Amino acid sequence: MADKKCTIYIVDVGPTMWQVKRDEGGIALDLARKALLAMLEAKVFAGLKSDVTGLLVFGTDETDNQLNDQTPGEYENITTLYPIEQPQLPILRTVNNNMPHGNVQADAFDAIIVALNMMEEYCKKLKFTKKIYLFTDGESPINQYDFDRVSSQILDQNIELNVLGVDFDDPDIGLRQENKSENKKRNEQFLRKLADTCKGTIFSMEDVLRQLSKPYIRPVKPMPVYRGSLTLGDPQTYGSASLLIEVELIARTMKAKPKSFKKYSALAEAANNIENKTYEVSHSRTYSITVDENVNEKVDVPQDELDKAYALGKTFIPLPKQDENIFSFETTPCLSIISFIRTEEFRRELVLSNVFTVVPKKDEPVAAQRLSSFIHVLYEKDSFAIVRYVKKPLESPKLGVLVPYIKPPKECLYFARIPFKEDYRRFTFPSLDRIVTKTGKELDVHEYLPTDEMLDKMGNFIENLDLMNAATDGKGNSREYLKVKECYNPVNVMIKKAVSHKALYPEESLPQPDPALKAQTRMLPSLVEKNKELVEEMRALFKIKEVKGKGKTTKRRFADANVVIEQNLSLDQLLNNDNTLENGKKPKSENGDREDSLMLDKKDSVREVGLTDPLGSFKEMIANREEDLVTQAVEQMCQVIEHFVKSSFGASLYEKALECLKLLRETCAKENESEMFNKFLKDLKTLVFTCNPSKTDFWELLGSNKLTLISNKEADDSSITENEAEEFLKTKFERKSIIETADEEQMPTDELLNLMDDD
Amino acid sequence: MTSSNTITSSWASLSDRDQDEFDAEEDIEEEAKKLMTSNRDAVLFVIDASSSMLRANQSDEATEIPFRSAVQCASEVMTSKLISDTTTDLIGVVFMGTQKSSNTLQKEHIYVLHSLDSPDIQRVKELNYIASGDVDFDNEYGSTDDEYPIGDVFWVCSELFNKETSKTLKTKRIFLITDQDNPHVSNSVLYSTAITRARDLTESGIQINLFSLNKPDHPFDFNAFYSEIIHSDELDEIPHYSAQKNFDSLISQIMAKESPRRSLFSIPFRLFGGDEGIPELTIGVKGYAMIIEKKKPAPRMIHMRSETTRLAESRTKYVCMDTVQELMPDDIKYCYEYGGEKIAFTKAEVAELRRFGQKGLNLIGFKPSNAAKFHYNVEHALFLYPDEGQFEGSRRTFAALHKKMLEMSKVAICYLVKRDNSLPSFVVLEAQAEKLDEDKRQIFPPGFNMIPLPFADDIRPLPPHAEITPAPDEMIDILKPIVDKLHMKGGFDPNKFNNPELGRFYDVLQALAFDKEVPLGVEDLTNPKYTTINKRVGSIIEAFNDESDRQSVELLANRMTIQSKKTSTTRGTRGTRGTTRGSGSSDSIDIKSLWEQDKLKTATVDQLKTYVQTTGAKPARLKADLINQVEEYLSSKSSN
Repeated sequence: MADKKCTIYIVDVGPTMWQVKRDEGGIALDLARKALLAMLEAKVFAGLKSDVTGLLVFGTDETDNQLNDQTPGEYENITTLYPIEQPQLPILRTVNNNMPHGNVQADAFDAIIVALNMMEEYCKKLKFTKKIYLFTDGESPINQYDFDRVSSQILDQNIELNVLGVDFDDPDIGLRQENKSENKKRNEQFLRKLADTCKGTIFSMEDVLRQLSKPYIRPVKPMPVYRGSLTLGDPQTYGSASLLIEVELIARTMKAKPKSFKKYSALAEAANNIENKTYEVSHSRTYSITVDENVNEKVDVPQDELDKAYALGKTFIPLPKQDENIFSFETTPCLSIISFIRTEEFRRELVLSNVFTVVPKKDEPVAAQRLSSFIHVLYEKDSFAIVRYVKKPLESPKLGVLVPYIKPPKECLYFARIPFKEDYRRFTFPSLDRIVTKTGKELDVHEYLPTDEMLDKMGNFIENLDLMNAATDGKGNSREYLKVKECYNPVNVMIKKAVSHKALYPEESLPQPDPALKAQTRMLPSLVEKNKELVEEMRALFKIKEVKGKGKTTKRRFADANVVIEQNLSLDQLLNNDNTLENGKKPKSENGDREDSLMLDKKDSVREVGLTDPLGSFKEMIANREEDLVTQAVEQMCQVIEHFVKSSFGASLYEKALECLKLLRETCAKENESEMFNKFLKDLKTLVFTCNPSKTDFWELLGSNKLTLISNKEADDSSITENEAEEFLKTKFERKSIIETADEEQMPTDELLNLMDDD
Repeated sequence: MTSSNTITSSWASLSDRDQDEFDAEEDIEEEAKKLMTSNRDAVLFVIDASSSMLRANQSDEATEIPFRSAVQCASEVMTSKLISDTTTDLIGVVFMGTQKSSNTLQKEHIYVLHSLDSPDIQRVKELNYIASGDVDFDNEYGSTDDEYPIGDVFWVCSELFNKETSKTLKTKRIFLITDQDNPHVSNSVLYSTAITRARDLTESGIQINLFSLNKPDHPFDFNAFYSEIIHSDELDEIPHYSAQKNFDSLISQIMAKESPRRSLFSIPFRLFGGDEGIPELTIGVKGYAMIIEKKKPAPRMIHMRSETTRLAESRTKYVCMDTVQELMPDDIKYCYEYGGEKIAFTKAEVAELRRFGQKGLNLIGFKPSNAAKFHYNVEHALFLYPDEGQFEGSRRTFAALHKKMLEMSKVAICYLVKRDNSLPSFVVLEAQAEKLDEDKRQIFPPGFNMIPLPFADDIRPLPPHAEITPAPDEMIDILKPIVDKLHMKGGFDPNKFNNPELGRFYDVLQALAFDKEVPLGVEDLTNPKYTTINKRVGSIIEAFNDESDRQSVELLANRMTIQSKKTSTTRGTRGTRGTTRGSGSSDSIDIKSLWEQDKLKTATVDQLKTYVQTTGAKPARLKADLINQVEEYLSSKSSN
């Protein structure tokens, strides 16, 4: 049973509201419109039938209201724009751009009486939360007759009266508006008296607008998700030797998602010849099966030919039709304690659900007292309880934790779910503060380890970015910044804003994001300013470099460097080309200080295209600005590719070779090395067709990737035409298929062995 | 037919309701699942069957045969893959050091029991059979201590992996379980060939994970042979090489490696600036889900009418109700019912609305570590680790931040957009220190726990009845000892609690698969141990209940007087209002207004009965039921 609400808005549209420019600029009516629109939009967005509104304006040239109907001549110049009903788009449109502008000064008190009458008639004796909002500048004369009768009626009927005055005094902040007309003074005084008498409130319009600019959260009525007992021990077996407390579980946090979007037919929207469009989209599901894996063709099957099944590995097990509940087992609702743990033993990050409040059953003082005992026991013992939770009969049990919370006069337990074994995965990650080599040696200095200087600076950084005093309150005192209660979900806000905006301005694009919300997503400008210099220093110290070209390359550089040396397998050795020393690379050491030499090597620039990370090292050599290693890199890369192709088990290394080849081609075209590439590719072609077994399938890969010679269209230094380049790939396509089938099938194992031993 | 509308059957049959794609795609669980199907894992168990592996380990209290334990491990891993949603993973089992041989390369002493394939119930059965020792091992496989080239083992493995050419196969791993630290002590040719072979494996992206076992008389020497071939992908993927003492430690190490680390996202962590004129400090981080709720899988639709059972794919067809035409994705807009009209947005507009800020993690600042209050929780946490792949130097910067935050007991407050289409949230980063066990094996990895904070919108106030007069100290003191008496040793460890729902599900599924009788119950470890509880704290609770009874007499007496005051005042106002209303029977007015004030309990049973009778219903006997009857009647009346 949703609480029913009835609200009447009364807006002054008399001449002073729109003919007089305010000192601050603009007209009073615009302020009133803005405030009213915001209030109405919140109601329209919620879309509740039980939340009804009416709109009265006074100061209009005409008169249209029910009291005037009954007693013509009285209650003049008051117009009912919208009777009491659920507010919909029309009222928003009216308020937004179609408010009447009256030329008559009408009586605000009269308008209140009309509103009371409307409300009485609509609500009768039913239970409603009743509110009246009066928007006025208080310039029009007010007939104060019948004050007592009206004010007691407002009180009797429990109506909340709110007066939103334009340029009224604000005693709360000691604001006094000067230069007020006599009329305004008198009326303001009268309205203040009225509000005081019937426990109403006077707001200044600015204040209201400020309040309304904050996102509005609609309160949710607390609804228990579980009503039952919290137990320790088994009351059925052990009776009074077991603990039983009647409790309720009520959500403490719950993701507030806006209503989801519905599908809407753009075809219907575009169609001109249809009346009463619904724009609705229906959906149906069809099923198909693949009959022959080799042919990628699907055949539709009717749903009644299908059965539901579960997969157990590769096996499908059809669901037994007669017994749908076969998988469930008997449980009874409970919240029963399994055991206790100490607070410090609990890992906060294990909490996997939203949080519920455990409170005593409503109006059960004994349950409250017993629960309180338990809360205090946990609190004083600095412990949590682990519980089994079953929400409904037959529902499967969950694990949860109970945490005491005491903040007088309130106290409760918090409940949240924690993982089962199946929900929890153990990953291991390399240590962050020590590097252990394979030989078991721990390193203190390493590029992955921060130096003391780095740590100091980071400490300052953390200190400087403390949020506990980063914000200032209204009185200039510092206070905590970004409390959870101040962080509104920007997407929810944006959706509301966009829907309201689009409803009123269908042709316009989406509204801009709220600047205040946008600002919350970044560091406070004051903190940025304060830390600029420190961060400059940190930048110099930490030397963070963005990795260009989408990951992969340097990601494993260190590890790779490691591998190359530990494997004692360098390309040079592989090719029996002993230029190790010439390349400036230290010869590998045989003893245990490998990791140390590794450290030193790391500092040098890369001079070798390695087997393990050819792409990365190649790129780095090309990028070397200090010396020109391009030709060297290209040469080595050619060798690497050749090695990959030759030593591939089946197609296992083709992917890698292909990647290298792609990069090589790209680089050569750019770096004036096209001739070298073209020569290499021709050699490679010969190689794949002549080697034993042949690697023609690799050639096929080149074809499908269009990896051919670099043409003179791509690079100036090439002498190959585009046609030649195309031909180059094609010519082998035909020959390939014959050789391939012959070789693939008959390749004897011995030869494979030979191939392997070649290296 | 458009492919974008076609969803593969495994997801499509989740439910028949029209899942809003904008809501569905947000689900991180879904993301994780997608990640798993697109990043398949292949694990090949290679288990040493030489004679020392078959001898019972006498030094342990429980006699264990290492080989059987290893097979048991393989079985457990296969089972866990079998019952997970990620049935696309592959697994295989190879024995080495067997008398008999079975492999396509015809290499001696290598027995391929299962080539790489999806996990299967029959295979699990077979492994369990071998692990149980019931199998005639000597006859079926036999054991040898002859020297055979270990390089052949790697070759056979390579062959097995090479048959799987699927692009979605992202990790290929060998789990090698052996107690032989140097297979070729005296044969240097075989020694170096083995090393070359092993490196070739690594070269083609196959990782070797070694699970070494000590021989009773000879501890496993990692440097004898394996240090030459085991190099991890990342420097210290295997941080500590220590041999496993027994089955428990073996299985725990294997299970720790069972799920390959797969990151959910890789994003920049903006520590500072980035705007014009402001120095930038940005590192790379990767996010992992250590906790993901595993649920019963959704049934799939299969077609059993032809010879082979086939999985059906489903496709959702959208039809415009006005034009009766089928709608292509471009023909669909999204709308909101607002003020009686439909406000339509294009798909791009909806996506724009959901996007609030760039992908990444923005540092806002730091707070004391108690800022991550317990009730600031809406969903499970994620884990962050530095990513050198995006920014070089990420690791040392991350490490510095991590270390200082631990030292200073601070947490970081950040704004997170996980992916381009993800909804944003504020998060708390809590530094988690690395924790090792006595064998220097990692229990908790170092990194940040990233706890999503609720928005203001997500927090509900405490209900009014959380207002409680604190219990008297006597009651608290009596009850206090229960905490120590029922303390869970070592804190809460999720591994101690299997989910009984999943357990039941797979028990039944297996029973159905083998046409066995469906078991009645299930092992449910969440059931409290009532006898122990009674033994340890029964008398304490009894004393507490006695005290509670005593206190409640007083409590209720006090309450009566307060209540009688309250009712007298309310009655007063009701009286005056009653005169203005003037109609209706006094009884029914009373009940209704009591209901309105949620005070039905204060009415007598007779009053309630009379009222229920006036509604034409048969009054129940108990007061609680009567109240329910009244509540139902009145709320149905008021909502009409």
